[in-house]
Amino acid sequence: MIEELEALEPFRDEVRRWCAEHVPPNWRTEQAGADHHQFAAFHRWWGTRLREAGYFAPHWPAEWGGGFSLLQQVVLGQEFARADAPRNGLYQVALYNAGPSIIHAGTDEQKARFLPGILDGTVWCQGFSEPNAGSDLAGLQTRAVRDGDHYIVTGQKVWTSLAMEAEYCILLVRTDPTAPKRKGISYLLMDMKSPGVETRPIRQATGQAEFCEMFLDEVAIPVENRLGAENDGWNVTQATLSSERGAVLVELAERLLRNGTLALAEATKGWTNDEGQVASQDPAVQEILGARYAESMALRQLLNTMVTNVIRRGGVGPEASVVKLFYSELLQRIMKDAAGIAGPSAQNAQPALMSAGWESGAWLYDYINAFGWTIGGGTSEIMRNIIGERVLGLPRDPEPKGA
Amino acid sequence: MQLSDEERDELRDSARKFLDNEVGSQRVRSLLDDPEGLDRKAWATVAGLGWAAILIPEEYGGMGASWAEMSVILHEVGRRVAPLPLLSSAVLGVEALVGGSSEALRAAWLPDVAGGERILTVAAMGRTGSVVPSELGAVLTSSGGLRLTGSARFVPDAHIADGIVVAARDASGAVTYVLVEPSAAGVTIEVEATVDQTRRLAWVHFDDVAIGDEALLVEPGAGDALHDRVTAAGAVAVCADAVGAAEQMLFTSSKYAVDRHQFGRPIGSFQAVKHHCANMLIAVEASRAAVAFAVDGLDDPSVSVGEAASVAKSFAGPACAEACQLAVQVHGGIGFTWEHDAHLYLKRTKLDESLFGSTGWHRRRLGRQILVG
Repeated sequence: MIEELEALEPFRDEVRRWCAEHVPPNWRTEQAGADHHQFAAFHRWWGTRLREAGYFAPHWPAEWGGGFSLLQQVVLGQEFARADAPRNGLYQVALYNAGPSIIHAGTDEQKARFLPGILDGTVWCQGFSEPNAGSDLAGLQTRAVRDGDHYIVTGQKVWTSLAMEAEYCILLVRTDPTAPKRKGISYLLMDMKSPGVETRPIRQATGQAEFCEMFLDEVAIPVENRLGAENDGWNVTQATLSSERGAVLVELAERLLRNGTLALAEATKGWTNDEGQVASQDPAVQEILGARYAESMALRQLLNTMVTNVIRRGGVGPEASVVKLFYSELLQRIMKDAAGIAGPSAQNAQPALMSAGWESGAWLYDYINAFGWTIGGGTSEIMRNIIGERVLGLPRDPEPKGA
Repeated sequence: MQLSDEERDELRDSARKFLDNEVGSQRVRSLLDDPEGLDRKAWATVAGLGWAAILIPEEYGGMGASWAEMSVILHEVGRRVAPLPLLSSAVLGVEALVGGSSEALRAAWLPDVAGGERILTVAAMGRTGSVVPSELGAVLTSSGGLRLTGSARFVPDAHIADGIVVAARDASGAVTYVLVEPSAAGVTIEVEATVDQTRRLAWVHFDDVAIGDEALLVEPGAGDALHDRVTAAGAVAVCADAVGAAEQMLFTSSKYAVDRHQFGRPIGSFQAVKHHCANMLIAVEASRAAVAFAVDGLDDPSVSVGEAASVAKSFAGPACAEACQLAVQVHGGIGFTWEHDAHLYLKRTKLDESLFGSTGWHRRRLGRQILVG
């Protein structure tokens, strides 16, 4: 890491001490098999610990309880990964989407109304995707019709993580069906207790039901809950998707190195290959481990470059377009390799460990769960389009006829 | 002396400008079949700019700079697939002398190497390209004084070198580094016809060559650490070269995908082509990162040079060659012609990928390392 980090050694020591005192040592065993209610309860408890320490919203401005520098956030992420702290999963949307969007585009009144709640642990969910608007998010059809000082909203959302736990929802709706699709979208803040909101869990390929479908039937949302101008919702979403992610990805990459690559190496010491040889002594296995380790180091260095560019040059380079994609596909490769080396014994079903994110140690389960990254948040194919078009300047795909 | 970010940017810009102007495709192509295969004119200029002297300490007339600077130059040279003896002399030769324990050899050679007046190289690979000591083909015996026998293969620029540092194994498998002059009795050099014509590799045969004490870079049998260092430097150098080559092909291919039309639209608007280009960018950026990790490792005495080299070779070696493969594919028929430069880059990166240990060996070595913990 860069020299600037050396000045943060006292802060690192402080975080490391805090982790040693507060990370529950046995959370992996205790949370194994937890359903989403137990998961949420555990995460509310962990969120409270983070708030007490001031580590809950480090990337927010100081006036809203944050004010940590990017490098301090990097240190926090590194230390949470090192301590194998539980993830801050329940509050992802609140802290990384809703909050930054409100800070960026909200009125003073909206900030005063919503931000303190987020900092107190209000859970938010995200109502963006629809059954017919996945990769083509801007094609969303949920309609909002102005009726006095309310929007009346009708439609269907999908892949709404933890909607059953959420108190608020950031919602994209179509307010002008005649405008070009990106120009007719508004961004609303919806109370999940509003009449007409119904959520149904979706069971994923992993067997868990972390996501929901959300049905909106003439839900009345006050106009004062609109973020940004009417029909300017697309721009509101675009403005907040970049810089806060840097430090989060550092944490994810460190966790993947420790709980993915290095944990797999350790696990191979307990497995045998078809010849009865300990798997870790099999040169073919060693070769796979080395390949994944080299990629893990490349990912770490990509993030290092990105952070360094932000700090020293005030902006990111092409590396920033690569990190999410590289992370997603490396995660998938590591888990696939693990399941391959483990053989049929990887089929042995373990109780799910939602709090572990994508590295539960149940390799085949983690492999399947990795689609959450190669599909969610922009599929790997969409990410490649973005690299091609925005970084390399290639022409956009032609609009299909009738779009 | 380590440069600031801005100074390093300036070094990159000036190197790029010089190579673009003076060592363009025509110049490179004019030397493909040249027996020497070296751009003497460009070499004189860049040696004057200090490119041969980057890693040489100031007391020997060098710049005393670090790998961060060396890698910038190697990257730019790879970008133009330039025929310059940087790997052989500025990297391998200098690392061997600087890392060895012979003050006399340093004083005798480094000032001339710094100025480009003399060229060094190192015979550090076995017959298969392996850097594992037991596979080295040069053998040092000590019956009636030290004698060198056997052969070293894949020795870069041996045919133009003024001095050849040889990694030799003894009966016990320990490594010794010795310097021989190409004119010494019993030394024969045979340039190998290689598919990559932008560089020259040679067999160097040793027929009972007498080695005096003054030719030893280390005490006999005490060269294992130096061998690790020199071969790691070679591995990182070819990876830096490959990243430069792949970056240039990414640029060329993206431009072609915009300019070339089929079915009434630019081929870059087709996702199959667009995604090839995106995959090239991913390969280039991640390889750049892997090499940056390795370069930091070479500059940081607390890091294992073996790990640094193996991270670069495990990832950047194959990824950059793959990117150049995609470049030929994106260019279609024109990319398969001799006239187009894409094949020069693919061949360059395939050679880079194969030198200083195979991808598989580097990965296995890394794997064993993380298993030990």
